[in-house]
Amino acid sequence: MVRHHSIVTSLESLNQLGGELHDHLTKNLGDGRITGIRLVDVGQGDCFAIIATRDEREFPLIYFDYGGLMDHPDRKKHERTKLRMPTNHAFGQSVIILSHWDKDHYWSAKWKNTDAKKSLWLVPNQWVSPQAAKFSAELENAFRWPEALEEKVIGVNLGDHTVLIRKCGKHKKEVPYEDRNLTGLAVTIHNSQVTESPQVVLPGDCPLNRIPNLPSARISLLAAPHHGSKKGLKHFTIFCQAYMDSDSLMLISYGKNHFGHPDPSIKAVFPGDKIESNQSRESDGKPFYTEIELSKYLPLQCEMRPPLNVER
Amino acid sequence: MTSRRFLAFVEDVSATNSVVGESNEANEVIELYRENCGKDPTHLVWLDGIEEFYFNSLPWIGTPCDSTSKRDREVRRSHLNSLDSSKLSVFLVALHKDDNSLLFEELAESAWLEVSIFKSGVTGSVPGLQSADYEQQETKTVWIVLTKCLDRGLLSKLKNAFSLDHLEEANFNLNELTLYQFIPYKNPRFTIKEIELGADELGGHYFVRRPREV
Repeated sequence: MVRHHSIVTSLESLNQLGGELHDHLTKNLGDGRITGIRLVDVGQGDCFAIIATRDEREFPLIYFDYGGLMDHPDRKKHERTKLRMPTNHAFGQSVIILSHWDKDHYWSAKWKNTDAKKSLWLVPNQWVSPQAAKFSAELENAFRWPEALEEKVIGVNLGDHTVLIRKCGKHKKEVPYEDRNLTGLAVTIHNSQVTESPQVVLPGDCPLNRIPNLPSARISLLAAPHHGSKKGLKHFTIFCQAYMDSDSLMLISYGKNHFGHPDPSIKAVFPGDKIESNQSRESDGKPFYTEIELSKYLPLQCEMRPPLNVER
Repeated sequence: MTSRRFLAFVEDVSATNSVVGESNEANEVIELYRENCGKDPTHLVWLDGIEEFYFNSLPWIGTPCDSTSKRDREVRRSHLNSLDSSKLSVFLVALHKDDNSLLFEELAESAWLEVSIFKSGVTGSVPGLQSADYEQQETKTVWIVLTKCLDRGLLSKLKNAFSLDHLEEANFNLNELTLYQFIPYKNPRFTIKEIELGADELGGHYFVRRPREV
């Protein structure tokens, strides 16, 4: 029987991130702030960069996924990936959060920008193929999501914003098959005082109704789950009706494919017409990514109630 | 007829809408299937394999890796890094669901299959593309016979060898709990009382819990 997770009005025991990942992110961010979301053209796959600005310099603080291979625009120009998807920046190295181990979410780091293998990776524990296992062994600084935190949420305050990282469904070692779309990581971004903030939702390939503890807040910016797949359309429709409006923006990352992504029905049920994709290739001179100014979707001007600290 | 045998992880199984020209890789294997089988395939399958004889010759595949042990992690990482790339292959296969309906039911993602590779068609084979990895720099056409991987001992070794046990669990050093309460979004076009998410694929009904007042 299919489970779905509740939409919540509170996160009663949100763990605040500490440790190496926290230190790495806050050190790189310094006195800067998160300013944008970059939809990188990786063809049929996902790569979203969370862009920060520090000392008037923009850099990718976090990548959520790192692209694949099918219809990748740098198929014959690997060196260009390093320019378009840099992981080394003025303040250190980007963190890479992998939603799941499908090849269209990590393979661009295999050959196209090998610098990415030196980044700090946070990955879900899932069943993996020989190619994925070999690739994961090449990562110099990769960590698995802890088994004790299956289906849990952690939060990290990054300047004006809070990033919540969730582990979706459980990886069950006793079960031989796994739909990895459902057992990966998902990210939401909020203003630092989460309470009345709308949210940016980066679900990877996980349907929205399978993401644990998704706040009952307005979704102002959404990456279409699973490249705009029609699977789970009924649930997606209800989320569109309940939590999005004509000012919401949907990003769709896809390339030429045989899956039928994105399905026209996904665009049809989305309220309004603010939909952008990575398919705006015009010439080699173009940057091959779409940058979204975050302040349009997570405005800071509204008054917000401070979070309540509770004792453990 | 001689064949090479692989053990292959099912990376992806997807219905194809047969949009020729939409994807170079898909187009090539779909055309191959049409030419040889006289009909359109219903599905494309990515298989990620290792030569069976080579895999079974590896002395470490039955040795567990304790992910809490730094030494175990380093040893496993070394083993994975020393895998002979020439013994690994990726296959893109076109299938019709009626070709081998019993096997088709077993084509779940993350399942393991036994794969026999031939240079020309044999009974029960389907055409596919073989390449060294997902980059598909060079592909060659092969004929593939798929069978279910039944040996429990072998399956156990495959899952042991190709796991993420060599990666340390992240230490988030979680030391502060914070309560956040959200003001539920009230979409003027939609009344949020209790949202029926509708029937799921299996016919059951699920309900989103009513938002609590804050």
